[in-house]
Amino acid sequence: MSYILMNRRLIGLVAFILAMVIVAFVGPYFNPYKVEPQRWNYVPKDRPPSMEYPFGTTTLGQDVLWLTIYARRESFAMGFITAAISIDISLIVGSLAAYVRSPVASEVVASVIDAFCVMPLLPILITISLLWKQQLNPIFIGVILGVLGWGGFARIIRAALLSLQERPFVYVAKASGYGFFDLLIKVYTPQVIGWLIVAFINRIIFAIGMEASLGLFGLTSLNRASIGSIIHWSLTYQAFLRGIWWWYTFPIVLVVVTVVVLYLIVFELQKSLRRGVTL
Amino acid sequence: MSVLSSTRQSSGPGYTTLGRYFRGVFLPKFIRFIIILFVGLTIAFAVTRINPIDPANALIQKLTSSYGANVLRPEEIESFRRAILAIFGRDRPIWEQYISYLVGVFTFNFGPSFTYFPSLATDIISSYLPWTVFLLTFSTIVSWIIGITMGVLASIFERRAIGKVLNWISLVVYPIPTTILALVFLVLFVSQLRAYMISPGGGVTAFRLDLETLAGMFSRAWAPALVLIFYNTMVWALGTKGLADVVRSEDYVRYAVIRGLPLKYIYSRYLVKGVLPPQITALALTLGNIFSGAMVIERAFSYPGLGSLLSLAVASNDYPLVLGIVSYSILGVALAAFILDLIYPLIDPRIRYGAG
Amino acid sequence: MSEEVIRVEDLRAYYTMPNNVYVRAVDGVMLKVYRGEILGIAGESGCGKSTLLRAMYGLIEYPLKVLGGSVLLLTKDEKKFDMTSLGIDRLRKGVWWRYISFIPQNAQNVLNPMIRVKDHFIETGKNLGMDEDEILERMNYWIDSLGLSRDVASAFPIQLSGGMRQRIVIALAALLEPEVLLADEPTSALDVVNQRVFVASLSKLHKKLRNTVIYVSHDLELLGIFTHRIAVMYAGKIVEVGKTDEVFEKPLHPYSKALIDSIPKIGDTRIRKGLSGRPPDLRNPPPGCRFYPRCPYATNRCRSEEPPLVEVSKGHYVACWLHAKR
Repeated sequence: MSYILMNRRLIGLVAFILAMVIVAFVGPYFNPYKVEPQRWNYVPKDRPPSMEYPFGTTTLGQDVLWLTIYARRESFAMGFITAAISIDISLIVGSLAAYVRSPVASEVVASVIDAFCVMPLLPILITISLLWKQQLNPIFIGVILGVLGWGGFARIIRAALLSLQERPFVYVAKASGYGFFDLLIKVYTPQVIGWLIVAFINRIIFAIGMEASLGLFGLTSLNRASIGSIIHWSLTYQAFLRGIWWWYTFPIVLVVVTVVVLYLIVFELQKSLRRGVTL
Repeated sequence: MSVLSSTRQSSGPGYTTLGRYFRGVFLPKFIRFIIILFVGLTIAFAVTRINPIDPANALIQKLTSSYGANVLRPEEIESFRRAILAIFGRDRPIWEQYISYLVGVFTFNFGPSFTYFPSLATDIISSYLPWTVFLLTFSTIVSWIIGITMGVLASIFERRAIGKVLNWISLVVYPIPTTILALVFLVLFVSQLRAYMISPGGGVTAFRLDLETLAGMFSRAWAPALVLIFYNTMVWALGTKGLADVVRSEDYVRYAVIRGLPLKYIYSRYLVKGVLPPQITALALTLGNIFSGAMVIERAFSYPGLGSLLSLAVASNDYPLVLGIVSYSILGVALAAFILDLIYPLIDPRIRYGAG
Repeated sequence: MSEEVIRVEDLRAYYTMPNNVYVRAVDGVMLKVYRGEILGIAGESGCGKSTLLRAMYGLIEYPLKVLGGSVLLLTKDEKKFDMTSLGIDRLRKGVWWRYISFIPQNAQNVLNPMIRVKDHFIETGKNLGMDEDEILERMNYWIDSLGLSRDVASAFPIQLSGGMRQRIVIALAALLEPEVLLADEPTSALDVVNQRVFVASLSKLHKKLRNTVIYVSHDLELLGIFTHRIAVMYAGKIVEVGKTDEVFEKPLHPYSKALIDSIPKIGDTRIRKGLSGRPPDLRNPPPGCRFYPRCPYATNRCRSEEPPLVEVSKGHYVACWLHAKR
């Protein structure tokens, strides 16, 4: 733990993300308009950035600055939900794969895990979003992403636990009669907390990316502010061709900065974890 | 008595190398393939059952409407109706629905497509498929090879400027969502790419294996391919660099240095050889992601492949088409992963000869 | 009268750490190695013996740096190689494996799992200018001598046991019949039986080639069995050097004495007392004798002045104020 705290670059990155998260969740309380920014026509259309509208306005009469702030909130909220759900499923299934005694059963569970890794998630996600078009909102999307996207981390858990199995303290626990869930919570989880944090952040990046892709296909929560809906509406109204660059540039730049910083955090954490620092 | 026969996996009478390969490699991998395939298809199936909209109704209505009656003969309407009910019908026990869905997948029968009524969904898919296969295969192979090379070089030169720059670029590019990357490229090259900005569609020429068609494919594919290759190269470079760092510190690589083997030899025969097997596994596992990324790029650039088709199908609520694309994507990716699984032991002797 | 084959003079080899801190792994070592002998270098982990060996081989890569002193390799055909200043590229081309070869730590895991055993020989030999027939001939010779069966050659390392792989590494080291063989704790990870087998194979090699072997180990007992001379290292310095029998019979330095006394002997029922404390931090070694904090015979002089390595009786050197006359 002390190594992590001594890494100044890491602290800086984490502080940056925390600041963004705080702005995203606290910001909406300062909304000067009486309506939510994703509504249409509450400001003049197509105004370039100025003192009055720092990020400009859209063809639909929306303030890009506030649209962006609300969209960030949706992104983070959805990302947290996805991360939380997928981590849990990964832990359970990954541990199951390692805990099961028969090698055949272990291979079968491993194949199921691999199935979720190999599966092309976007087409499936699109199908779900198409069929549930009316019910789309960040929570819904977050849950679906969590339920579908747990494969990668489960693989890591399985591999880590399989090698841990060989260690004496696990033998002792099993011999003392620990059942599956006991083993899961008291023995396995503490070993993998470091990787868990890495996977958590990883899943947030994944969720943000997927939602943006859904937006490209017009299948995200179009009546709410999100990166996906911003992309969809700006494409539909030809912002790219008409030179309304402020509509999509500010949100996209912020998203890029966010995911890059998040990934840098992941990268630094991975470096320390590989060197054997446990949290 | 040979030392080796006591240390290798037991080989009894009648086991040829081919027999061992079949038993030790093909069979387990095939079972894995089946499991992966069925998990995927089951999810695709489940998704179309647990939802508020009943696709079958909407489709049947269109069939039996006046439009349908005008365009089709009664026998055709009936056969289509049966196909739709087979895939989407809900008035039977769930197991029957599941089986008839699977039958539909493997007999290539999803009923007619909404948008291209009354053409069969599978016919439409097969006319867009070659474009996707072309783009995907080409860009995946190129980016895998270049990416691994770059990753190895980045590891070797990690303390020089070029290595650090490479590392930074791949670190930054890796987390960017494919959608955003595609949009950034579109914006940056908007002048050259104005043609790509329109909604998807545009003539889909029939696929023939001749130079003209291939040339045509190439001229439409270069922009999306460029983005795909750029992105995936960075992904592979990033992963390979980390892997190469580990391999370089392995005891057997250090021993090659100690024995005085020339560096270039060590880099190509030890480093690259050590990096390839895990990256083949990685390829098999990330095929789904690569495919999803290709879908996004195709849509963004209006490239006439499955991505654009999916976008069209979504826009017109064309359920058979959507389900067909999803099902065959799953099948395709699982198959590709299976093939890679089969190739892997040929590259890694440790798997071939097992633990003694 | 034995001639010198390796001469280490006041060698200072440090590891660079971030913030310009140096870990002084080898801090002023003087050592002579004589042709035809088996020299053991003993000491605990972190005393610098592996670093010394690597410096003798000339394997000096970042973060290791040689800040002073030299290592001279003197060959039978009257060549002189300054191992610490020639650089890896030059050493690779004319010195390594021809005059001197190296058996690394963890010898059973240093073979490339992706290529066959014979490919190891072929690639090593071809790099040294041998042709394939010659290589295979020599390979088979050593495989036979070391008690391995011929089909080991076409096997992949994964198919062989740890002991077999170790002997292959010995065979590889002997490919060009070098004058000096350096072995860096090659058996630390092995069980006792395999250790003995390895050492026996190495001795056999030594007898056949009539060359010089330098063997680094923390296992004093093992070294006592087959070495002619033994050097004891502590905290980056050599504290005692002498004929193995002499050093074991009558260890002069308090540290060697403690080490040797700790070896169990049949019939010896004394209660052993371990040494308290730990070796000094090599980033900032104290002045004076480095063993001072743990030495039961320490005097004030030991704290402030470092004792030099002096010859106390023929061929027996010690660095300790108990024995240095002033």
